[in-house]
Amino acid sequence: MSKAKVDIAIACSASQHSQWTGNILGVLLQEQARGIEFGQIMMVSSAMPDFNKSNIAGGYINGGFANPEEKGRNLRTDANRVKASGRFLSGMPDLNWKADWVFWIDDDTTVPVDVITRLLALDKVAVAGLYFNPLPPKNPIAYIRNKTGIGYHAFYDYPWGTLTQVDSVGMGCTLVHRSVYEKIMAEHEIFVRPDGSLWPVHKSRVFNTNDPYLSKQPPAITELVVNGWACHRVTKPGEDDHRSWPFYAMEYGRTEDHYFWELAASVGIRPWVDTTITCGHVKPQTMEYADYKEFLNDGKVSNSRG
Amino acid sequence: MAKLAIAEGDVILAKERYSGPGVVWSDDNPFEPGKYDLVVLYNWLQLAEQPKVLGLIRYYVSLLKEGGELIVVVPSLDWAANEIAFNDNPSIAAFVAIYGTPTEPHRCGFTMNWLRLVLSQNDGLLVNYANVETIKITQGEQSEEARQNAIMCTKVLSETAEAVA
Repeated sequence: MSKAKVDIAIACSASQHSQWTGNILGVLLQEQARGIEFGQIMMVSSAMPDFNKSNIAGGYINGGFANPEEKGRNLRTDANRVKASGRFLSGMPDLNWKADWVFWIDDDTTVPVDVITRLLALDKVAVAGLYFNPLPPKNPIAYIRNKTGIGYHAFYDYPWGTLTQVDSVGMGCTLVHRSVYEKIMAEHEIFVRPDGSLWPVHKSRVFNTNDPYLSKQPPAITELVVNGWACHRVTKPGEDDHRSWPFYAMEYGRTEDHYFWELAASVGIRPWVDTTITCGHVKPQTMEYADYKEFLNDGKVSNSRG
Repeated sequence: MAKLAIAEGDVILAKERYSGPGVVWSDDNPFEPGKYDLVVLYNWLQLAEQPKVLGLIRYYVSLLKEGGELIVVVPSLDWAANEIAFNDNPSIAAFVAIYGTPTEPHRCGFTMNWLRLVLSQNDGLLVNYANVETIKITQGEQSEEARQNAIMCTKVLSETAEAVA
């Protein structure tokens, strides 16, 4: 049986102490002994050992992923994740290396020993452990779609041991198979909005109008995209546009994880969460599973007593 | 392609719920090893004495083909305990979930995690879904909600079992 080939991506823009790097990467890499073959460790932008130095270096770091052409964006988690995803997908051609899996971890999450082995054993293409919001309602960073279909509510108060699908989950302890990214790319078409941002749209929602009026408008409009809510005037990316595939975006006031899981949902993939895999969330006061349970039980006691 | 299935416990509910396209319920008596694509144990396991549970599961797993599915549904002890501990007026269904009824007393019980651990003890059985489900229990004009722990597993091919191990 061949070994599972895994890349590790660290892309969150949290400000974490450099001790995290040694300790947590040590925990992850010891899983080589369990038959996992690690390739790239992609530590992007501010998720470098010293946040302050990264801040100062800012857009001038050219050797890493921070891109001088994206000034002001290189500390944003979505840009970091896009870069890391691109690097994961292209692999290391010189070494003939392409990982099957990418394990996403943030530089403010602490994972249990054997986390990747346990996630792999679940045999899902997208599966995550849980970490918790440090602020009330101290929810797991995993979400279910509201009944209206707009917005999410937290996956909350589940029985310990639950292994189920959710609609969105944080990327702080998440294993994703290459096929998820490839399926998203295959079934979407990328456009450029008037503000220059990239916009992936599912092919089933793209209508080539060939409208003689539209085609005369500057700049040349090649497509009209209907997203179910509104029509956008967009253009196709130019041949000199080498930006990475936009899997993540902080749009509509939301974090970038929702954006990715909505792309995945549009190709029929929902992430799984295993509630027995819990992580610490390192903040000024570290948030762990025990804190979540304490908060939950306090709430129940006070509710029951009116 | 037809999926040959068997059910134990609350057979009527099990068939109502898990009859899908291609599912054919077997009338075999006794059951035959390695023959079935789906085994549903619906409100069945909690009727067994606790020391016999592991053996029972092994028996039902032995009835499955490779790649076959085992579905286990039991009353949720997590829910029942919470209901009794934190609700001033707990539902009768919570007590039934723990003790059963005079005709069908429960001899053991499962939280989600216990059930998952018990199932995971079986080599070659991959737990691929574990979630709490809400059901409505109606008695006369009264109706109450109760929760069940439902777990689905696959009897994996030997190659997959080796990789998972």
